Amino acid sequence: MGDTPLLSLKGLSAFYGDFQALFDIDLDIGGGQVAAMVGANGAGKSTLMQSLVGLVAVKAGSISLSGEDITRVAAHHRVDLGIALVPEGRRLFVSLTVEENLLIGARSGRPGPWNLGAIYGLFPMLAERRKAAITTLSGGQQQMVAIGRALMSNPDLLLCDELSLGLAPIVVREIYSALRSIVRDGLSAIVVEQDIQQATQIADRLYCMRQGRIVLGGAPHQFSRQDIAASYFGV
Amino acid sequence: MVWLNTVIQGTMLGGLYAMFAIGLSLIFGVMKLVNIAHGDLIVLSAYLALVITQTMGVDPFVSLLIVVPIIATVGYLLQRGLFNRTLGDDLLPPILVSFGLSIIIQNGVLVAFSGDDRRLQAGPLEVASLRIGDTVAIGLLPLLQFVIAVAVIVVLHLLIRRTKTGRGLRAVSDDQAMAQVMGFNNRHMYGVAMALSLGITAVAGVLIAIRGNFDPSAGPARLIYGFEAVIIGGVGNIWGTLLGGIVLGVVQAIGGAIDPRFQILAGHLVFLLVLALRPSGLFGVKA
Ligand SMILES: Nc1ncnc2c1ncn2[C@@H]1O[C@H](COP(=O)(O)OP(=O)(O)OP(=O)(O)O)[C@@H](O)[C@H]1O
Ligand SMILES: [Mg+2]
Repeated sequence: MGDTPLLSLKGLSAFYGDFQALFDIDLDIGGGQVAAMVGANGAGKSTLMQSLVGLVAVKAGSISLSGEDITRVAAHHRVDLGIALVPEGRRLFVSLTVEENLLIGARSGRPGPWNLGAIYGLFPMLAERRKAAITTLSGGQQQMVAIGRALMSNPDLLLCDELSLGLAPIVVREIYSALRSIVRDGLSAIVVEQDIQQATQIADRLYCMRQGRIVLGGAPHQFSRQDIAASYFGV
Repeated sequence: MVWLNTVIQGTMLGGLYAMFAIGLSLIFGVMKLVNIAHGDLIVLSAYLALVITQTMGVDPFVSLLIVVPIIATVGYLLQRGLFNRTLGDDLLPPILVSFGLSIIIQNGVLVAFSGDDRRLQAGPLEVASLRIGDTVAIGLLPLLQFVIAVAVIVVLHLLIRRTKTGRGLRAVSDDQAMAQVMGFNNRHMYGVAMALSLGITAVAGVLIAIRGNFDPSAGPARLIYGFEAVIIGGVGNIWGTLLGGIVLGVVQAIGGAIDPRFQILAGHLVFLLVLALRPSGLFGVKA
């Protein structure tokens, strides 16, 4: 089995109480692959990311990482297995400084290229503000800290949930150019966005979610704008 | 000069109140837990010290070396075995469970030690004092207690600000879900917070038992002083809590100097006054 995908989801379903948020999700992400996950408000993109890190319980189906079933692995062990999340809305630790937030990311102690020096190399702006309180940073700088915090665990799979949320277009371009250099060395990633443009530019695969289901998937160039719009809005 | 003496006495008592209070605010900060049994665990520490001083013939200060690790361990196990099961979106279940625990501890201690007043003996230290000028005298025992209280609070502050464990506790307190994603086992971190909380209060519980009598029902009053110090100082501010404890101690001392029956009431009145006029506390950040 030389071609076991890095991440493999089979028939994944998840609920909030009685409300079913994910229906029967099948998805494979290969090593080094970058998948863009698009979809409208409430499609279930964040729920999918949360179920991958163990914050939302999976009711049915399975999650495998490098062929190993991790469906029932507790949330706090998943980072050790190589999954890192840049959550929607950044969710930095506000009583920690910039550098302390990054160090928290390194808690798992996984070996790899990412350490404080490498993060400051990627985002020199953060080096100047390493002792700063999170609340004094701009939105873009906060997003850099959130990305850095996730990278510090040297993940095999990086999950990015709406990196562009609330950021000016010029800042979004900056963040995405950093992301492009991050994934260049073979890190796998799922990049969630509402805006199709940004995410598809760096992705090898495009998936579209609607009402808790993956309704479109494949290489980005094989879909026309109409295809994507149709599955996005369900028209 | 009588008044200066009174203020000094109150300040030193306030250091102990601040330790009760910091234990309470630590667990509230980390896991939004209100522990009604806090006061009874303080009293339990004093009984444990009583047993150790009597059976081993050691000084109460030496007994701390045994009492603190035991009570901290009890705290960790209580959190993992009991309180963790009650935590959720609702604040009420842990309050009810800790209320039950409070009653169990009070009655358990009553059965084991009877309802008699007890006191820890510290020998000649109890009457030694430091004279400053003609009229001011500082008891060596209260001074030592105050110094220990401040030292414990400084160490806790450094632990929270400067160590890896402290960083983890702050992260868990900020965002529990994201802390889990970063690899923290919150259940363990809550246990650590409770161990720290009760370790600190065990110190205060033993120190205050050298100074005044205690009996199985003394816990709730200690709990109230702790709460009052937290509120007076302002939630979430370690130095504010120290000052809150001192304000409470000083007000009680002044009240007691006016009329001994007025001592406890004076503290409650100032607490209510602060709650009415500055709900965020004297030194807290305004919400
Ligand atoms: N904590 C929750 N409790 C109950 N329902 C929830 C919760 N979080 C999300 N939902 C519901 O689950 C569905 C999927 O939400 P989710 O946040 O995953 O969507 P999304 O695709 O990330 O949307 P957005 O683009 O707005 O971030 C929505 O209908 C939402 O209302
Ligand atoms: Mg979302």
